[in-house]
Amino acid sequence: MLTHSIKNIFRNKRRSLMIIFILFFSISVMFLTNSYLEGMYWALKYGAKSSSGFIQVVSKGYWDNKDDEKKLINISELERIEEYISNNNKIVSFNKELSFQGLLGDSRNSTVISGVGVETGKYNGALSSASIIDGRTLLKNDEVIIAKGVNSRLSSDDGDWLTYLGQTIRGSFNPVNLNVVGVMTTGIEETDKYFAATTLETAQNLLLTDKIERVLLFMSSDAEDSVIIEENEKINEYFKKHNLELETRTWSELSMFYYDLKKFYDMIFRFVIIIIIALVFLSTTEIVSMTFFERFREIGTLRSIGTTKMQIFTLLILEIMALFILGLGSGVGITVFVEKIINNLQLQWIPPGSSQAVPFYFFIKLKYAILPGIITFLAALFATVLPALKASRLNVVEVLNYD
Amino acid sequence: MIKKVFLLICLLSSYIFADSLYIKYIEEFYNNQNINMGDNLVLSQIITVNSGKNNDISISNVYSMDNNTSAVVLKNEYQEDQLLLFTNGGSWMYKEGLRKPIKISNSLSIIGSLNISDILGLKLLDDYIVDSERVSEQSYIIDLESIKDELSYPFISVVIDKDEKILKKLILMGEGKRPVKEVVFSEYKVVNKKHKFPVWEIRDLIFNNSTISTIEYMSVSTHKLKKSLFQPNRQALSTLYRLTN
Repeated sequence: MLTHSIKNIFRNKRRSLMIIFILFFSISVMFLTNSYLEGMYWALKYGAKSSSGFIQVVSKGYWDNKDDEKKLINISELERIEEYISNNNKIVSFNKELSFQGLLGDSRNSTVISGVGVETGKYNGALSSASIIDGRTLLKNDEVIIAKGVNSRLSSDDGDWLTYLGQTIRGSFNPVNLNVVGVMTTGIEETDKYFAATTLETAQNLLLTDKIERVLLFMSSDAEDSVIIEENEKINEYFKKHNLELETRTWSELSMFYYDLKKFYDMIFRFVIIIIIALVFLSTTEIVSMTFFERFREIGTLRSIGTTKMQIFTLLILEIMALFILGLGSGVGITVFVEKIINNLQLQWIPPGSSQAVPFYFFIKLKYAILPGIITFLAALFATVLPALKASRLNVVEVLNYD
Repeated sequence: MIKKVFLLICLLSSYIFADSLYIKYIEEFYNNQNINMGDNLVLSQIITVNSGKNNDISISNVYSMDNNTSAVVLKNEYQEDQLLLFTNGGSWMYKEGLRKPIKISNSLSIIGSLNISDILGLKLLDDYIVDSERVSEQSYIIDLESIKDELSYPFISVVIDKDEKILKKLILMGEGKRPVKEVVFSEYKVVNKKHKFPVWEIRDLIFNNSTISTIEYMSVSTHKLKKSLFQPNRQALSTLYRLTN
């Protein structure tokens, strides 16, 4: 029966090609969209983990603090955190940060900046998305790298000394010399208007404190969310055991934008799927109905030589399944081909609110074809069942006399 | 020519305040202070900031070159002295060792919630005109409106005690007459036998009501300084910094 079904496909090539094309096109569109979104989710997740750390440690009450006074981690607490990290092989690196806000400028001009002090020579969460466009990165204390928006307001050059003026932890003002060694872009236009970075020691000097604001803990890049949550619980148990006034949040608790964006794109993807399901269902129903209509005499002949209704129904379903397999194969094959061409073209686009172009890249994995395959298969199957059922139930004499 | 200009200013002033019944109390407030901003005047102040947690004390000396040019030296126990330069062209901050003075906004809070205008003192007669006057059970209230764009407080309500005939309170307002700060005058005392000052208690009405900044005037003296030192460049400010320390 399967052989008979396959032979039937080649009897009317134009019609079969139409169905294959619809199936292939639907699978391709969904496969490409799914691959692009999955790639984007992965990049967003990676970016969120890179900038906020897999787990972030801060002083208790830091996130709910409504006071002007910053809640900071003191030296003894920091020693305890470092002790925990040194005895834990799941945390591969960590970075300490201290943020500051103030004015940066000279006697001609000054602008408001919001900066962060980071440890040099280590992976920095705060600078994970930043790239130096002029000059160099931070090497020693009293150096600062400023975002391009800040630079355009101050018109400073590499090696220029500017004055920073900001409030210290006590609330008094502390003007300090800072040497501009580089200009960077964070990729986000709004952030580029005020962002700056310096060394952790310099930030402590600006605020006149020896404390730090947060510790960013990094784990292996393939660490599953469940492992991160488990580690987070262990850290909190450790803090509790040692009566440390510290608290933590995982990357997923800190990066709400990731989930908001994911929800938004998921909604778009669902919309695309609904349109494609409608397209597959309507066109397949139409073509299959027409096919069966044109094959009334053939179906009548088959019935008259003793073929059962069930066999007719199975034959027609097998035909559509064989067409689906061809559509799936060509869809996946052509999608991979298109992906290779587009990825090799290295296309770029500038997302809204961004100052930097990002690659237009498909993150193809065969598993991303599973969902489009299932959806298309079900749509094609449901579109076939009704016409196939009708065709198998036809009266033999009427069909044979059909003109 | 100078006489004519002076007469014109007098005439304009008398015209501006012609309808005011209570402006004389503000004039008296300044007359009792008996200071002329300028003439190399040095005004020493103690500023206490009480935020409910900390009680930070800064001592500032105001070196006034003329009505529009002043330098304020801020001293406190936590850090090196800082010099603030205030001219018609803007305001700058400088500290010894800085490569460049930094331009700042007049409305920048320098100590606690106090900005430059608060530390230098408000020029109610020079910078404002009377908008309206009211009388309440215990006070005369004069509503003033600024005549200069760059002032931190475009509107001020002056509350005068009906019985004592002294300034009791200022309500400093921003754009849209939104109250920003409240200044309560108390403990009027005589300094150097000829200057009568109150203690200023300044409360921030927007951000933190619990923070009270207090300005207490300690002495008035003169200190000969060249006008060329009141320039926003490192050399001039470094010299001024050393001379005023």
